[in-house]
Amino acid sequence: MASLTRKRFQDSFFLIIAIIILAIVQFFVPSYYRFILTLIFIYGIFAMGLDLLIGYTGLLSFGHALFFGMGAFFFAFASRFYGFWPALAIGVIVATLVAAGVGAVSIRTRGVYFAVITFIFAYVAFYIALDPSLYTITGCNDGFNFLPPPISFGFFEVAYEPASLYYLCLAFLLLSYFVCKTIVNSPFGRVMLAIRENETRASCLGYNTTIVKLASFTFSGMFAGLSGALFAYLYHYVNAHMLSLEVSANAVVWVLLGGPGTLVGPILGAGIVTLFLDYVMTHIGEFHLILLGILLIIVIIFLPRGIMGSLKVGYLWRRRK
Amino acid sequence: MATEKVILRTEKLTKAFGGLIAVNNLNLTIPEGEVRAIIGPNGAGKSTLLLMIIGMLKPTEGKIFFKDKDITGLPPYKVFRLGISATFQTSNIFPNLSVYENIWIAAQSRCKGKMNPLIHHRRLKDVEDRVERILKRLNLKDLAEEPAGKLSHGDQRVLEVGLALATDPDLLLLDEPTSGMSPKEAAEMAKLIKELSKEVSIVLVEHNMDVVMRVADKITVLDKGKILAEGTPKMISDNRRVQEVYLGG
Repeated sequence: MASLTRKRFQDSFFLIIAIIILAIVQFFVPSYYRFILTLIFIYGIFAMGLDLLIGYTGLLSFGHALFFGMGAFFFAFASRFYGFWPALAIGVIVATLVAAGVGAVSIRTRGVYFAVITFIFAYVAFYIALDPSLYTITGCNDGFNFLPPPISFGFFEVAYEPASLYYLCLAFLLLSYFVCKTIVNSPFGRVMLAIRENETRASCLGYNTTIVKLASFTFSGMFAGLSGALFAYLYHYVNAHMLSLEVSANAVVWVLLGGPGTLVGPILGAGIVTLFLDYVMTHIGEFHLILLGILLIIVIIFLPRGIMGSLKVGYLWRRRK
Repeated sequence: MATEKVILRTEKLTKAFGGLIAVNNLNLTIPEGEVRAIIGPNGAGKSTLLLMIIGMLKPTEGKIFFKDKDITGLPPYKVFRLGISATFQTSNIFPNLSVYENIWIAAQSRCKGKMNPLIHHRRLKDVEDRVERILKRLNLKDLAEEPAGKLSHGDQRVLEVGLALATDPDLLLLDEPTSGMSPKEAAEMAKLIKELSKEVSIVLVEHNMDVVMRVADKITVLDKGKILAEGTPKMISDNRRVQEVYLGG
């Protein structure tokens, strides 16, 4: 058990260093990059939540934009009437409930069919949101702006400004990380792994795999919803394209690129893709999706376990030598 | 008969796939503590019988009782919770997890809090002891940190028995545990089964007659879904009809 303790010590050491760097880096970068980092934190929550499903339970969803969008829209609706916290709670709760409903239907299928059915749910929601008859509610292609509510901590209020947004999103990212870490290390997390590896065997050990799959789908939908609500808050704007396939697919790319089943990897993946797209769009222009595709193909061929996954394997291999 | 407790009983169990009757009106009674081997030519209905017992196939007719509890039609995860455990014809493990993690997942399944998402899995009581005990017993200790999928075929089969044992079963169903094994590995598996038979009732489906003769208390011979003969290994090997259909005259 000595090696386990050492590993835990190493993990927390790296974690503390990372937190310190992220906490102070915003003082040293241009305000534009502070915004990009804030966005990456938000995407990181989405990616990490999706990793629970893809990397740990072994289910590939192409419909998580639905929960991201639900979180965003219901946060936006609610913030017309309520402050930040109630609006956030409403966004997350609606996204979680929708995820539970979509999950209950989708997990009856397996493999490709699962990916397709989750995609269809999101696709239908996307077109409903685009429907002109709902223009007064969703704003369709135009979307709508809303007044971002200030964040109240009871006796004092935090102003809506870039630095506080940065720390707010960082705090939520860390909180999400600890929740996800707890889940994957728990007995429940072991069963998620068992399902990824061999679902039949897991049920032949007495585990109700349906419940576990539904729960991990719902958990991941909850994080997508949280991410969507924060995204809406950051832009104080929502539109129907937050429910689009592009959003779902991007999230899958973050997970696969960063390394499924590593939690930190997908955050890294979200960061790399976001910075990459930002760079390409400002310097090269048009070809951003083609170049992203090429990047993804390169990573999948040379690093099939994603960036973090490959680092981990390399580390274990060296230690064994 | 009345003095013995019955661990597994089937009553007029029948499974038809369209016109093909794989298991035909089968009445099987297995007393507690027995090692029962089920043999028969290919297509005799042995695997179908096992799949029905564990709930992976629904019987067309008839009933299955485990310790007098009707388990007919229960989904697999409910059957396995009652204290039945199984190994499968093809290796059925968690290939990318270590041997230790494999056995952990199995051992955890009988624990309170096995689905708790909020505590560290290492904090579950007794699981660690049980995993260590099984690693030691199956001589897998040196391989504990290896990914299960990297083990040799023979070791994977042993690991599978380990998974089944870790759930602390009262009845162990072994579906061809020595298939694809070298004679030496098969002999070791036979020794292991013999040892296990002191603690748990076993139903063994097996083609390797050496193994069957060494470990079985009683043998049931199936042919075309029906019981052709039933008795001690000696009785079965002396039975003319069994020799004709199965042992090759």
